[in-house]
Amino acid sequence: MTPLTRRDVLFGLGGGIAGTLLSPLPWTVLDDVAIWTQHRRALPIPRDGETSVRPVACTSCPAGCSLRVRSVAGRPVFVSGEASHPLGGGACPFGLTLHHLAHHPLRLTTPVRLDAHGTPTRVALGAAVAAAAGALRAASRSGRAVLVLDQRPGRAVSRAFRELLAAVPYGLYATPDGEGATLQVLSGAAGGPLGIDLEHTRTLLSFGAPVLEGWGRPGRMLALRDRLRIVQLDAWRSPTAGLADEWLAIRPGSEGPLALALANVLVGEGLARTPAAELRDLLASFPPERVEPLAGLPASAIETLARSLAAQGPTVAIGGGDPGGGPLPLDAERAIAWLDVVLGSVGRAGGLVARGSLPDDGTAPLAPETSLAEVPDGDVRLLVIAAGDSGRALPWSALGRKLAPQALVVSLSPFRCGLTARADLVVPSPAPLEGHEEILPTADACVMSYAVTAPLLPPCAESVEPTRFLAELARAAGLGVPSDGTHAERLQRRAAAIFASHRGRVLVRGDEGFREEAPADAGAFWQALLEGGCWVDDSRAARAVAAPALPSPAAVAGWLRAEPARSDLPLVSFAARGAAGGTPPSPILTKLYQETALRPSVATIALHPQTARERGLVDGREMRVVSAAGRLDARLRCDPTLPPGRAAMAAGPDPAALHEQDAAPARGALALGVVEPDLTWRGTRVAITEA
Amino acid sequence: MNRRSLAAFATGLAGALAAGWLAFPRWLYVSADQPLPFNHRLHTSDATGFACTDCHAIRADGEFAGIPSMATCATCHAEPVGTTAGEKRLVEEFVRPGREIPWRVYSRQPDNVRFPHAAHVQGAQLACESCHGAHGTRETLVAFQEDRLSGYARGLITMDRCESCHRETGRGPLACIGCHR
Amino acid sequence: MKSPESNVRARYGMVVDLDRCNGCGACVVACAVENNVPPANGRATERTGISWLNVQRLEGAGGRAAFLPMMCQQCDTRTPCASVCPQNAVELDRSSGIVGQVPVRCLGCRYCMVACPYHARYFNWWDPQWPGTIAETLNPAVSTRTRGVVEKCNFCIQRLQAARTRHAATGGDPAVAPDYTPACVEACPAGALVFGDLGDPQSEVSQLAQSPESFRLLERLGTGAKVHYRTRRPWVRQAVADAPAPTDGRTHV
Repeated sequence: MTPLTRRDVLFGLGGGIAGTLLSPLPWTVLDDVAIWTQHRRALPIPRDGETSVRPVACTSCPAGCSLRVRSVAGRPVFVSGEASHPLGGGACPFGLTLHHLAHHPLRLTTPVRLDAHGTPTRVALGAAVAAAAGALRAASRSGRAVLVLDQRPGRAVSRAFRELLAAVPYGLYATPDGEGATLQVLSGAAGGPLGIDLEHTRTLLSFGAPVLEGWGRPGRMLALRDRLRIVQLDAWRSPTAGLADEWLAIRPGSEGPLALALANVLVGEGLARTPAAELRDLLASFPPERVEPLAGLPASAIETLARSLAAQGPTVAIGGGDPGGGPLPLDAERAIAWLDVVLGSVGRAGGLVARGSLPDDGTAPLAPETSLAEVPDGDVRLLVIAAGDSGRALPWSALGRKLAPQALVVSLSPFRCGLTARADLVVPSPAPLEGHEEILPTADACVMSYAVTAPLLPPCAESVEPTRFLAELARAAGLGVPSDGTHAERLQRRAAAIFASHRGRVLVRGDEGFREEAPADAGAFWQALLEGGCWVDDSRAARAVAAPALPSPAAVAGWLRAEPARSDLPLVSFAARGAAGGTPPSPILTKLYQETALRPSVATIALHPQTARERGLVDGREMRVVSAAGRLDARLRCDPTLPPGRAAMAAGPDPAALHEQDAAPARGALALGVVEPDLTWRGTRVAITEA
Repeated sequence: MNRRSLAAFATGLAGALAAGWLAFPRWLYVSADQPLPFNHRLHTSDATGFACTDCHAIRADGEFAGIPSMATCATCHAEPVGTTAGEKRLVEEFVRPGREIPWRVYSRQPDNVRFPHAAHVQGAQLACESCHGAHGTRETLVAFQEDRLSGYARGLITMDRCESCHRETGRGPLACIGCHR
Repeated sequence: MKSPESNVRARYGMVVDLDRCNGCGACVVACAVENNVPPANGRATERTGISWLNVQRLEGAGGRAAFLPMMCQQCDTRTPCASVCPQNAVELDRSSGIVGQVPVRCLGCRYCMVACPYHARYFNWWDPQWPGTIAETLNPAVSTRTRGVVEKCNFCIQRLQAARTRHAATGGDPAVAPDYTPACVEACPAGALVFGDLGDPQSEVSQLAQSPESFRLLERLGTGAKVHYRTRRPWVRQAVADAPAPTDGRTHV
């Protein structure tokens, strides 16, 4: 055989190529490599399975909107609102991401101790209880207070807190101010809680309350929108101001004088529906001309507004503040309450009506409710922050000042953000969708109601129901508080008490919707509640109203005092309900706070273009913002809808906190807020310079 | 071209064909055992009388339940009902500890492919065997061979088969988005 | 590549009531949850983020605001994105009228983003990341996307598929296009979004689309969009560029 020549090799190769092309090798390799390049190990592939839909109620804020959760293979994947719910439906972006919260990076699944930087270390429940009991005993010994801050009062667990505090020498149960502040001023005079008969109201005059964006039960407002005339008095162009029938831009802090000026016009022109004799002397100091420079509204506008309130009644005036800007001062609420009295809206259809309370389901003594502002500074040795979010901001400095030296702060919230990030110990309650929760009516509701949301998911092994923590704390501290069963048992007893009262009607959820049905017994009633039904009380008769408290002379003097010209600017802070409270927003909310311009970011501060020009500040540049409470950097956003002479900044959420595992350093208006002794921060002023 | 060159060409051709048709598949496809030896014929015989859909069910919303879960097997095999070693392993390794059986799925498609069984079985009245082959009459499971490059089973149905049937019958989606997400 | 006819012909479309939209953003979030759109990368901005549906604010006199939900307008007569795609990664599906984007096929040239006059297409500049264990809540009916591909609203076609499957499982007539509800429509608490088959003259969406207050965006481009907007307020019509004044005798839908 002759040796191989180059020609042989070439022909052999040729044959090889032909053979390869005629075989599956190259085609299969190309195909398979193409498929191989599609593999992305890092991409999650969710498990498929059976689909089921269950009703639950949202627990992110007090509205308690009814939701439908779609789960696949037992895992919730989608949440939608339920428009047709009898108590009002609809859901906001926070409710639609409720199922993310149990998976949030800031969610705690075991009791932890937090160090000075907020870094968690796991502790056993027994150790946490022992520490809290030790603080409780130290408080009793040294005459200091045990304070429970409950941002969702009225629940069965609220009662458990109050029972415990009643057994302690100096126990304080405090609730922060909420959107019902005006109603609370009036309910003191009415001898019981009030609601707003919005279904028959013609004009709603809002002093900065975000009535069209996360207020009351949003579904109810949406359903009534076309029938209501909404006049918004707001220091900035809030979402409600943009959607209202009329927006009057007022100067920050002028709510009190303006309410009195409106009452002045109504009384002076004989349009008042009640004599309001107590008010006459006070009103003489607040004619529209006097209030014009205070409120930044022409006197003619004040007069026109007052006449329209009388002509287009029934009219209800409300304050309550806003979730990011905090409450209005109490005296401003009193002025607004008196405006309601002058308008004759208390105790009449379309106005403020009496609302019942839930029947008592226990006999143990309870610590009384106090306002957080009334708690003396430096008096608290043990602070327990209850789980349950009001959806409204509460700056840490409002609480921190109440603490005694070496105070222990225990939080029961499962989320390591907001106030909980400053706690010493966290004993986390179950996350949303993991436990039973009660749905109570919001401040505006004109009838009492009760509903329960049943858990959709099993709780984490080491999360602790607050009632269990309280029972262990009582035992460890040697308090003789009877242990009243588990959380679910307490709720069941409460339902039984409601059933036994033979009041109201029960709406049972069926396949076709809700229908009224009388349950056979308490057990059937509880079952109906667990399956998404609700109980609605009967309407109450109108209540006669005594005169509410007048604004204090000190406040009145303050309103009338001429303000010296200042170079710094009042800071208007704002946030959507649920954006600045103790529940972290789902990371997906970057869709609203980062990836679109729909909602302002905490990283920006807004000024009217003219105000910026006067200070030589350039739009889009980084600014140094300084207040008496803190300083931070923010990007300037020139906004022609913001009236001149003030700055506006969001109080939350911080998009950076949506990315990071640990709570980001404080940004936004809450870091700048100067909290007064009455726990308002609306008087904060800032100086802005280029950074 | 002379005979020698032709011979060289033929050698190369033959070698490449052998490599491509014989050696390459042996290298490319990796055999993997199923976790348990399952006898379909026994379960579909008159003695037990199961039909395909008794275990491989289609739910009321039309979604396919897939390979039956261990719970389905456990309804009869909570304790051994026969004498085979395979069944003993089923009970000891899976039923008692409550472990799902890690079956290797012949028809597993990429994540972006959505195949609605209801439209084909109830809608187009196709028999299971027309796509999956006659598993039901076999006493042993078909040998599972995995393509080591793509990670999918050998002989997996590809898109051209779906598309040609949709085109010929005039039923079923023809746009990409109809099946791919 | 135009697909030949199949047995079902539907033209799903939407009417957005600008007088009801209050800018709450529930639709934006519901869309992201349903379609496995990841949270933004820390560096993402309005231009580089992904929101298949986003809400724009329109400014009126006296501080009045109106809101405009924007998503893929599902062009019908002329689909600019489909005509420029070198990969056939987007195609108008004649059986549903949905302009279907298949991210798996996309090679990321972004030519379609240039072509789309509504700026309704989004590019994955980063690999998706879900913090914590939020990936447990992903929807298995929608594939997750890698970086480097374009995605956009598909009118929740996975819900249409589920509806068709349910329809087949219950013995429904294959020639009938089933009703289904996209995530945004389901989520809107104000009822501002109406969805249905524009080809069905009895449907609410079809009747609303033909009313004088309804209009389409960039009508002059002749894309034949299947998303209609309606408002009774002249200033809102004015604020939305190119909206023609209402006429009686509506043009065909």
